[in-house]
Amino acid sequence: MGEINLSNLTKRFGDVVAVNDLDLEIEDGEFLVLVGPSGCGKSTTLRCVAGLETPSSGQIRFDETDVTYRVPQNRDVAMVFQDYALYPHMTVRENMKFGLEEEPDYTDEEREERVESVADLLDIPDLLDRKPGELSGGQQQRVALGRAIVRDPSVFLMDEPLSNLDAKLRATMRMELQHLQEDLGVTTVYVTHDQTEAMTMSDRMAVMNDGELQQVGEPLDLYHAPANLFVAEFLGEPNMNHLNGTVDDGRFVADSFTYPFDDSVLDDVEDADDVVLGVRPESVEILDDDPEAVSLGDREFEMTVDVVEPMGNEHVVHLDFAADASESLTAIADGMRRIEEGESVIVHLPHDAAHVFDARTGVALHNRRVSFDGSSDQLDEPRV
Amino acid sequence: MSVSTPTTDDLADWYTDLTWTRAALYALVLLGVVFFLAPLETGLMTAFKSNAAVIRTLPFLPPFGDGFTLDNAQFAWNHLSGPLLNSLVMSIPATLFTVLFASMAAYGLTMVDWRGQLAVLSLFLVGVFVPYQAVLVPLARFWNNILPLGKMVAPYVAALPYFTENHAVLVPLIITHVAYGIPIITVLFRSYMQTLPTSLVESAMIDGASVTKIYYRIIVPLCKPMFAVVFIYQFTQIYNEFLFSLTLIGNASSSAATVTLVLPSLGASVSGMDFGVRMSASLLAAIPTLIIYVAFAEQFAKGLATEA
Repeated sequence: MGEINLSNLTKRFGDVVAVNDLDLEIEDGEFLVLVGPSGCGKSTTLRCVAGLETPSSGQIRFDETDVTYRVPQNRDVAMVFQDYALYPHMTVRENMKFGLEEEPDYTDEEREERVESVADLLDIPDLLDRKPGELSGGQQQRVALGRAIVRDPSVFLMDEPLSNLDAKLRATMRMELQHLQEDLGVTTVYVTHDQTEAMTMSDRMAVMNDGELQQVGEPLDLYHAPANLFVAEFLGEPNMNHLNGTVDDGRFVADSFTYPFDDSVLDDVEDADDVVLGVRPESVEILDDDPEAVSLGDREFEMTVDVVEPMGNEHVVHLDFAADASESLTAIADGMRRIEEGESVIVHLPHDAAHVFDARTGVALHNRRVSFDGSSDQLDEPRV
Repeated sequence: MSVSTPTTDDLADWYTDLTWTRAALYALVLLGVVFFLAPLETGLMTAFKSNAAVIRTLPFLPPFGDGFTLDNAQFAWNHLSGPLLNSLVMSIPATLFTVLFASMAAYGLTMVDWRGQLAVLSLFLVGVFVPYQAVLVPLARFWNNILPLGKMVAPYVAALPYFTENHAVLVPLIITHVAYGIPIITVLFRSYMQTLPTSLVESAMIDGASVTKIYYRIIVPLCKPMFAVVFIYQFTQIYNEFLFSLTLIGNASSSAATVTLVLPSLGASVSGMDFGVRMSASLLAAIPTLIIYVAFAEQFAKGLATEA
């Protein structure tokens, strides 16, 4: 009922290429999140699917029917806008009924009933006779959602619908939206720049940058097995550690340290010279040993604690190799540990924590080993 | 409600606030009020004075005793009631049609995408700058020789109660005013519509609404303040217009003559100026525009505020 197929979708505005040769298949009932930094073309892609923009080239198909040049009125989609786009001169009831007016198979009472049942579903029946201007941001958001649901479309399109809410409400709505989508089973394309939203809500996520699709897959696949440096750094908070260096004699050599690769990494790296070593902050271990007392192991380094950001459950610790070194690391340590700024510590980078990227193209050469079955839709062609 | 200042303090507060600069400010404001209202007040007083009183008393003093008369007003009403009606018969439909067509044009040029939009918009912009004087002769030629619409509709107009064949000339006059008003009103509407969030229209499109439905269900209600502004503006413009009336109607003695044609000659004669009559007539002629302003004042203010 709601399968979407984008092939070779390109949208140019004058000389600017907003979306470049995008291929994406969205299954029926799937919750797909399009994520990327602002200006990456995710909203343009969504607007092409909605019919608000006409693609410069390429094809959009719904259930194998070509809708590339179809007007939005005839696409059977509903959209939630970032600013909600509620009609200010109509009551909530009229707002929600507006989209139903064009549906021929409803009588007026049925429309009324449909509005009321959706209002019940969203817990807003007492707002029905108010105007949007009298509602709080969260309530407006619900109405906007209700207006989309009421029409029972085959596809929901959402353009950063939660970005105008405060952090607490956003977290609640995130969960509610997920539940709603599961219950309704309607294909949903959701655009956001917030990687947390993308990770938590999506069945699959598509990461975009500069109008190009970087990688599509399940959130954890993308997190643990990013196809390239961009995806690796875009996902995860705090960012993945990014260390530039070269491969020399089976080791990674940077300005301040060397790090021996094990065989599995070396097999993947092959003959690449300039590489980027990526290590997730949670993989960086800060050992309890006193650096004066013990000698350093193979993948252990003496580092100085620069800044500690206490988050409560954990500390984000920024570490320096030496005061003037170009490299530094971010680590996550348990919130109950005492770590002083300026303190000297031993840092361990486990052998299986390394991601290695080609420094020139950004393509992932090797991703860290994780225990679950990491089957990621890696792109065949390097795309950076 | 919850916080209210005790009323007893108000006077004291006001007194302590009353510094010299504040006093000077009030004096200036008062002077401004007098400056702007004095001519109006003088006109109003003169309208109800007999000729002798006009000559003997100060212009701004109210009439008293024998000096008070309603004859001027009576005279003005007798001579202006017909033209007043003619003016309204011309102005009201002309205004309504202008506003209707201009808002549609602005919608089409602003909110709907189509090829060649810019070229059409520039035609409208050019239309704003065509001076009245430049088109008077072609206009007369057009309505008299090329398309004598007045003559064509004359029998139908004459069949209506009150109207005579002469009134048929009002039809081409209305069309002329509509044509002349559309460019500027379109530009005004367009600038207002550009401030509306595009997501409203997009949302309506996705909701399945047609271009026409979006116009009358979304755009018209949202443009209400602008409708008030252009309605006042255009009505005043057409009601006060003189050149087109002069060109197409011709002379003040016609039964279709509008107020602007009759007013200049009223109370003026070789023997001198009858100020009482002139003031009465002027005030009478100003009443329709006053009513319009008062009726739309609130929306007008809203429209100006949102436009700024």
